Amino acid sequence: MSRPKRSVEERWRSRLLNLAPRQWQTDTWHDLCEALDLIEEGDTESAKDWIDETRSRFEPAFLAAQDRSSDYGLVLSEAELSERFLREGVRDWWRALDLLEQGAPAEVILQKAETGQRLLIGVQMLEQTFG
Amino acid sequence: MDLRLATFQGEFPDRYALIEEVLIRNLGVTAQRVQILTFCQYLCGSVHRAPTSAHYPIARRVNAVSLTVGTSRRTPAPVRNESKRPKTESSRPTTTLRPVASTGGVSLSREVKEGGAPQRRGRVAAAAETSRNLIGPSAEPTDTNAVGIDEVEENRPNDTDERNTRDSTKGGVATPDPNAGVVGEGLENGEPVPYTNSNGEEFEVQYSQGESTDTQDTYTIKLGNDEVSVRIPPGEDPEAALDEITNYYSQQPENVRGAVHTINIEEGQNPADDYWAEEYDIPDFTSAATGGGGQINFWNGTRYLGEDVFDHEFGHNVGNAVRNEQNEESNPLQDYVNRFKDALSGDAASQNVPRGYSEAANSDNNSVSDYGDNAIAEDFAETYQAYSEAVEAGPEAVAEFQQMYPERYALITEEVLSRDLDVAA
Repeated sequence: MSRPKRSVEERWRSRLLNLAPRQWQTDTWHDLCEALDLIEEGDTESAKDWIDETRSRFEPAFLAAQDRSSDYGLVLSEAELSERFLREGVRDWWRALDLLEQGAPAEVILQKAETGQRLLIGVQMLEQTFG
Repeated sequence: MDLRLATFQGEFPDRYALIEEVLIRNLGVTAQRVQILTFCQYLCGSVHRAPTSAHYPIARRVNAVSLTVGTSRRTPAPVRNESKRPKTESSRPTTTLRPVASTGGVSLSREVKEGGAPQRRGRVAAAAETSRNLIGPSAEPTDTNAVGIDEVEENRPNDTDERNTRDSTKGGVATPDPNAGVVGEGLENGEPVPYTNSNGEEFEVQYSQGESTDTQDTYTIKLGNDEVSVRIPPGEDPEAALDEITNYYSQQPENVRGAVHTINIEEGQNPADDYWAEEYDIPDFTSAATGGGGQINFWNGTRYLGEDVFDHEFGHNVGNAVRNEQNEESNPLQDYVNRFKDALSGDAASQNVPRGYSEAANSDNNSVSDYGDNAIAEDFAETYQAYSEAVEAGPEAVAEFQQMYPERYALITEEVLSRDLDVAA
């Protein structure tokens, strides 16, 4: 019976949760799926190369995302919401790469990466709306 | 004895005797003689007196005491930033406000559309660029104005209207709204209609439509013995807005509902946004809503009409109503004492907090939210909102709230919710 609290941040999060796969899937997502296929096929070397390359791409953003001081409390503007989604999305993706290296089950990795994807796509949506 | 205090005593012996009797002997504040001097000056008018009416600028604080700060529940060492607190008298609007909790994504504020916020737009663009560099661009259009929102909504099973859904974030499948059509029916026949709020509470509500102007249509929501007037601009969906307001209003404790008599939904943005941006040192500050004097104003239409914002603004009104009652309960002598105590405690900074709240917040020694740190009135509104959410979540959440904010909890339950508030329109 609970009605969603309709804070605008929550409305955005709700929208992101309801994006269709064709809206949130991107090249990096497809690459991740390929990396999982490679691992399944036993080509861990290629998968490792991809993980390393992807990590190096994410690393600056991940390090920047370690500041959690503004993760809580009110979002005051679309800029802060964008940056919050970016930080969360990057952290989710980083965790997905960790899980991939640790040999976690594919569905766990994909779930984490999907959450990150939706958030990072949300950042792009915010730009299209407010930019 | 401090020389200046002695001078004051010589110049105003009667006043000094009164102060000494009341403050020094009865209240035991001998150690704070220097502040007694401040109070003496205050009585004599050399220190600006705090206004006593309900219309009180948020942007004011009598600089008589330093609040101590400690660790925060949410952020590391959230110092109650005195530099952020306005220290000067202001002639600006009297309501207290809440910032945009986050962005709506449906349309831009005028400020943004007209290019008044390059820094904010730049941050959004920079974040988006980083996102694209990391994961690539979306293969499908995601612009919420163009296709996104409608397309997203279409992905929800049984979801025909965002306002008529239940918790789509948790179950994934929306369930039918038990109040679908209720507002329309109630407006049509003017009779009480059954309503179920989001806590599952069932009650009867009566709607009526009143005066209409070019800019607003007026409605009344009657809930038991309480009623609130709602003004809605023509461009908005009145049934949807009244549905939401009924839901949020019905969750306020019955005895404090009288703190609000009018809810305005304004089409445009708060004309005072620039002022608050400067006061709070928050560039491009955009008000979601403002509250005070028995009213809540939602800015930019219904974009920011949400339960959290509603509770926050309701909190401002509750704080103001309680404080007014406390003032009315004081005799002239107590009023003098109260003014001194308010100056010492920090309560003098706003008439939108119950007397004793600053001391409670100070004793808790923590922060309710970053926004609450802007001013004691915002701290109270954020606390009221957090308490409301805890009540809605259940006894465990209330216990957690009490553990986290014991003094604020005590004040809210003992000094605020024990009252029967009624603010005349």
